[in-house]
Amino acid sequence: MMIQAILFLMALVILSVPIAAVLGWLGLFMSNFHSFMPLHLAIGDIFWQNSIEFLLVAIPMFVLMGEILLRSGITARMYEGMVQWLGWLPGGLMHSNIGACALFAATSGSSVATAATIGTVALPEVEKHNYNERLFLGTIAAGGTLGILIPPSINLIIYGLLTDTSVPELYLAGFLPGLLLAGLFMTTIAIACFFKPEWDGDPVPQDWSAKIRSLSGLLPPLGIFIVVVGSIYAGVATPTEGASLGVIASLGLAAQNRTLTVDMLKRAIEGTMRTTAMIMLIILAAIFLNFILAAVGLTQALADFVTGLGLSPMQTMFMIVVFYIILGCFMETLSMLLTTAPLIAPVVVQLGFDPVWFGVLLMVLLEAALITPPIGINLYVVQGIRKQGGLNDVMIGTLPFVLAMFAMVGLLLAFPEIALWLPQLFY
Amino acid sequence: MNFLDKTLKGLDGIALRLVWFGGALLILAALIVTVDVILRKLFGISMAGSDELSGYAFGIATSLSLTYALLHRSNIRVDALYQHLPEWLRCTLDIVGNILLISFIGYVTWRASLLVADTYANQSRSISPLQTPLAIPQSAWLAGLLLFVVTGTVMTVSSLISFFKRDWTAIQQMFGIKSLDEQIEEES
Repeated sequence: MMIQAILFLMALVILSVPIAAVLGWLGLFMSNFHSFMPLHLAIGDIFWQNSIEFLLVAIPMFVLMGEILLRSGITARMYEGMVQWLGWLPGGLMHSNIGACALFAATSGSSVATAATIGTVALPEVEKHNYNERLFLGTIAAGGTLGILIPPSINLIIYGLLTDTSVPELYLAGFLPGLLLAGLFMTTIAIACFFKPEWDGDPVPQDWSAKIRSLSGLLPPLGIFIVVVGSIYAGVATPTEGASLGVIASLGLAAQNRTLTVDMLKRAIEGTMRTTAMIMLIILAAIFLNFILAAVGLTQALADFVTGLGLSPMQTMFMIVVFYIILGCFMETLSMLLTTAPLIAPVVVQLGFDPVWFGVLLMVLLEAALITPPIGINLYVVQGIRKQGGLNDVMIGTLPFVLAMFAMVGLLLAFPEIALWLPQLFY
Repeated sequence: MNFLDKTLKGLDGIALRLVWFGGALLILAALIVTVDVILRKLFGISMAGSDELSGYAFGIATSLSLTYALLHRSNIRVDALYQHLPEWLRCTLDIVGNILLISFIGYVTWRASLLVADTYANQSRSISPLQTPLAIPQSAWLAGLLLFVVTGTVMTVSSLISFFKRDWTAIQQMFGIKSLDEQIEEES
């Protein structure tokens, strides 16, 4: 049954059938051939109940918030602020790329949008200030992935829903690893520029009055981040309520910047609804499949199979990590999360690992998937904005940051407290 | 321009307006939830039902937007193998993938319509302080699914005609996985 299901899944995915249809048909197939009861008859009810699930309302809200901020004209000034505050480090503007990506990711949650937005602002600086182009490109591709981990991450909401894990706890758990990973990226840049000073660009002139002035570009996005994530951490708001506050706050910010127009709202809504419809279709199909797989006992069979292998929990976890790294080379992140999390998370929990910790580990692995060739969407995005040279430059420049991510995975395996300390403090 | 193309163009216009409507519903929901949070935390006044209402807004907005996403080729597909295939094979996979998607959602829609019929027959209300007559949000939600299936069927017929005419460009334009430039164009 297990092999049949996996072959079915792989065949349809490879044939580039839309992921929602793959998951849905697999569910109908399994229910038809392996269940004593006609489980699939419940599909109408499952779709309706989850279509109005309050936790999932956070998804369109976060997407909408990001779309509004994207169109409110804050990016250029935010980047300028990061240049002022981080440009003095060895590696100069490359640190600003990471910082701006982290802050933008913290308010938008979409990796493609982050890499595309920051890339557009940052790329012209390569030639102006004589940076090593490859490493510079790498900082944007890698920085763009931070959105998956730093709260409010949409992927963490989906993981929480699929595995019945508390989203506020996941958000607390993702915070330190997110900062640490950004720190690792910046260390990578500093080390690279220490050994190869010619990779660094022209120094950024230091000017305190410019620093103070640039705060006006940094504080608004930071303020929105604090409103959204702070209200969730403080227990004042649920993730969906926090996201709604964020939508209203970003509307206010856009109004203040005089960029709030009917036309701008229409574009933001179109982007939001297209993304939401697409994600929701897959999520609903995945929830249905999840229900069927649990009911026919496949989830348990897989968990038993893995425990039956007689490996130690750590060895199994190592295999899971390798599995995700390989899968990440070929699969897009959202499909990867939705197809694997419902099956792998129960195995992990049965082995005695904390589901919150595994959620964070999984996010780092998904981040790596965004920049591991041949299928790494952020690589293509950065190359797409650059419109010259070869994709190889981006891949080579990103490599050090892939290594930094592997280091992060190693740290999480060795010291689970990095993720679990904050949630334990609050819960 | 033939009849099918005209129909699809008309459906696209409807889909776009439904997306705007759905987005407006969501912004309204965000506003209601925000007011609720502020009233609850600052003034201790509890306004019941903002979670339920925003859930309905979300469900309706999403289902009304499905058609737009379909017409604008937003379905997530894995193209690791796809991009190395000859054109006619890519088009075949496009059509097969589309038929599998539409038939699955067609099945969901059929089961959903039975659910809504039950709701009407029993005059079901939500188990909450609002006691919402469920027929209202469920009908709007079902309408979105129906429009998706109708549009998908028209697209399937149209793509099959193009297939027999060996008009690969038309099929690529309708379903093909988006190139990167198109994606970036949309995201930024």
